[in-house]
Amino acid sequence: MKKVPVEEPEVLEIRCHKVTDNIQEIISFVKSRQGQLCAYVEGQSIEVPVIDVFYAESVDNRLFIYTAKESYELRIKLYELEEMLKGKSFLRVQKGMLLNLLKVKSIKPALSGRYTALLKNGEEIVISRKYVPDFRDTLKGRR
Amino acid sequence: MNKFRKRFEEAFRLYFILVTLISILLMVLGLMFDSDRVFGYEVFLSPLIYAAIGVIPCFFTDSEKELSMKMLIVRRTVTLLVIEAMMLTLAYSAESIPTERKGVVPGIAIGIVIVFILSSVIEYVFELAGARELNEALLAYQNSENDLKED
Repeated sequence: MKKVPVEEPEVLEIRCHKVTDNIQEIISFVKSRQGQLCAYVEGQSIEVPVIDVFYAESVDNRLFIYTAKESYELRIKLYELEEMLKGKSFLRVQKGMLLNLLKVKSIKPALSGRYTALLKNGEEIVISRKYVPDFRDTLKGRR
Repeated sequence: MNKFRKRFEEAFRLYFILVTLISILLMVLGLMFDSDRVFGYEVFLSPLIYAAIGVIPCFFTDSEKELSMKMLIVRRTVTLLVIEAMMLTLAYSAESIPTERKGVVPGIAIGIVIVFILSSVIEYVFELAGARELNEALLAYQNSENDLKED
């Protein structure tokens, strides 16, 4: 790490022999701090702004993020993404799902203590009863 | 401990909903099939006992596992069948209920279904109030987050 004068731009450089999963994880983390997620679609790398993400879902050990109309794969784990997005209005609403609270249009009951979140793109996401207390506390600023 | 407490609170709420609905059901069935019978004060215990029996399945069928809507409906149906079986067994074993009369048993069975549906509707109304509260909190949260971004 080298300190630079304020007139010089800040640069993060990674020198490595091979881009491993760990390196990829570091890149993802840095980009997420800048409001971007390093995603993949058909093997091609693409940067997705965090503010465009509606929700993230883990399916068969693979993590996908969903924007208004598209879905992309991330090469990190859900808990890592959750950690990266801490303080960014994302909240766990199911065992394998993170929801962007800013993309929720309304909430309605879904029987048995669960709720359904209607998203701004028309999709519906179930908030499981286990996560309802956290959801309520976050909205009310108690968390 | 928290999980048990939450489940107990839900069962407690359901219990009093059932007590009210069963009292009404007993009144309706009594007037239909056995309106001349005179009871002592102990009859006030009946709704409390029946409601306690009706709440028991809550503790066995309410797991934390994620259920699809289809599975939820299957589970509710199984719960209803278990309650029906328990209540009818009780009705046959209780001397005060004239199960030998034609119409009494179907009356009880249909009554249980109606109470079950009504209790679900009342639960839904409670959840609707909860959703209204959540929607207000959501709007406030989104406004405050947007204000922070503008700052």
